Amino acid sequence: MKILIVEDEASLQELMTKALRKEGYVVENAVDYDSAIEKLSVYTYDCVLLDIMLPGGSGLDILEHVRKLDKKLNVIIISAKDSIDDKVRGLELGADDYLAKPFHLSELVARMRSVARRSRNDGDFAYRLGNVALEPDSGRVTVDGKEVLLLKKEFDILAYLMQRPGHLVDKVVLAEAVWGDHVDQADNFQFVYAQMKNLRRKLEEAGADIEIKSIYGFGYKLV
Amino acid sequence: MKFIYKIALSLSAVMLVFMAVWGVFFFRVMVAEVNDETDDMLEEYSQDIILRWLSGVNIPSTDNGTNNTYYVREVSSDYADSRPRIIYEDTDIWLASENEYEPARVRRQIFMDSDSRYFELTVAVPTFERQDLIVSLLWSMIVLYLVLLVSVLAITVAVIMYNMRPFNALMKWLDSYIPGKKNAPVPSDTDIVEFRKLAEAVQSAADRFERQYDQQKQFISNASHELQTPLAVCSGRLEMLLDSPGLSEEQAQELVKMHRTLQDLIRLNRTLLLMSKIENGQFLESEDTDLGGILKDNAGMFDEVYAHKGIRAVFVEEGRFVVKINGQLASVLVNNLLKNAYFHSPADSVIEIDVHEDGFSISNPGDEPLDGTKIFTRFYQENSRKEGSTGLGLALVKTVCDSYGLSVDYEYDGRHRFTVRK
Repeated sequence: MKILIVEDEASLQELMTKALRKEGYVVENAVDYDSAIEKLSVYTYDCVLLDIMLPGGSGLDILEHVRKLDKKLNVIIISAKDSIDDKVRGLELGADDYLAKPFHLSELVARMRSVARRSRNDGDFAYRLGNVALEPDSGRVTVDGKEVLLLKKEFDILAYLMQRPGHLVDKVVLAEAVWGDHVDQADNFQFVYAQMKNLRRKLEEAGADIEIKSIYGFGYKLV
Repeated sequence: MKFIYKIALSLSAVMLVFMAVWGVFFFRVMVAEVNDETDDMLEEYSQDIILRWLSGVNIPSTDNGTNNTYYVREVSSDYADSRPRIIYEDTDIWLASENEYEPARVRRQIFMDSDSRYFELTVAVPTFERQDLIVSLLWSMIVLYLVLLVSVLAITVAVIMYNMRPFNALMKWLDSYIPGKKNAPVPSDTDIVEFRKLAEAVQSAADRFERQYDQQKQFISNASHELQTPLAVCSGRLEMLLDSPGLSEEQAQELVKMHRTLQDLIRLNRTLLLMSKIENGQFLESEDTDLGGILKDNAGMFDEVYAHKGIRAVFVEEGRFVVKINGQLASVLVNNLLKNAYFHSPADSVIEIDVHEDGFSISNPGDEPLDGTKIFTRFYQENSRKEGSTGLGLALVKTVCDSYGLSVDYEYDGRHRFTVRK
């Protein structure tokens, strides 16, 4: 999959490029409005990561331009302006997703994966890893085609980890993603552990060949 | 103390003393005048008697019939020489008509007839008439004094009140002034130079303040925006580092700690942004929201998170509390209050949540009351500074409440109780 990152902040651009290349994507860069328009006119990409505030013009204008060219292109907007207006306008103009700075890199990768999954266009929207498949839309999890019944929180944890296989996920970040932003001050993450224990047991009983590993007591990694 | 009362008080203090001194002086003068008049009368009377005596008209040597008394007696030449010719004195005399001694003004005059015999004429007028005069004078003085005092005060107060109307309008404007809100222009409808100057000064101060307020708001919002990208970069680099192979457990642990601290910073920054967005009115869509329902849902989540400490919520639902509010901000409001209650509760305690038609309250046990005037200010954390706590939670609650016309109050009755009302 070929990705164009339109971002003027060199450091962030480098970081995103690195993270996405590591996932095996082909990544190219544009640093301002004009070069972005030029690259988009000349080459074909599968996905564009678009910053809104750019030297030379607005990312929203680029989005409009892209849609006029009628390219079946996935666009993810990245903005420091976490304002509803921008988000609404961006999505109205046909952006596929919206990511507010500062974001977790793993979040970016996960969104990318989800875009890739949707663009496969073969009707199979499931995340697959080993013999486990997770369908986010229907909330079903199967191991070797056999359904495993998971509770809501267990499903959310598994979904979050399956979008970030092989990455270390801090349990605080995981808790925030599954339980909500307001768990940030909890001094004990027993509640994550309790859900994790059940999830692991259920996966093991179903004979899954993936495993949720605890890393040094502060995080998890799906392998 | 109001200015007008202050003026009335000082004025009455001065008037009280000044007019009393004037009254005493005036009274003295009047009494002296009365005495003088009495003496003149006595003199005229005695001249008349002496004239008649010397001209040989036969008049009785004493007259005791009326209030005006006189008697003539012959005295020796030695007596006459040893005394001044005319003496005025106040003494008691016998009044036949009253049949008693009465204080009187007395005039004695020694005169000589053509036979070189000396006579002493004593003329007296009882002082009770004079006393009556003085008493009635005194009463008039007192009445005049009081009437003057009251009317001077009343007139002064009325005149000041009338002329201070532009000033009062200004005061009213100042009372209604809310920084950062749309305010009416300063009232300056007056032709009095001082008041116009004052109004102009207030207007320019308000304008300047308003500009600074805007700049400050702008600054916070800009600074938070500008921090977003560096924070994203920092956080991203740490995540990459964490994923890199060959990391020792110790290194990884340090990195995770660093990452968590960075997340706190990101959260703080995001909260500041959220607050400036609320203050700028950037949350437009609101819908009727059942806050009781949100409370219930989220309390369940917190029960789960704080299960290890045995903290749980108890609901008392007396009605539905429905508010027209932005959905995102409704959960910000509810969750911050809930988080606050759970976070600051000792183990095995009960959070009481009370929902009724025009508000809800959340209470949790606590040992000491908090300073109700400060807890809603940004970054205020009394004895409760904990790592990861932004100190913005309650300030955020207040900001949300303010922007939707809700009130949020804190009370302490052995439990900390936060109440949100319409």
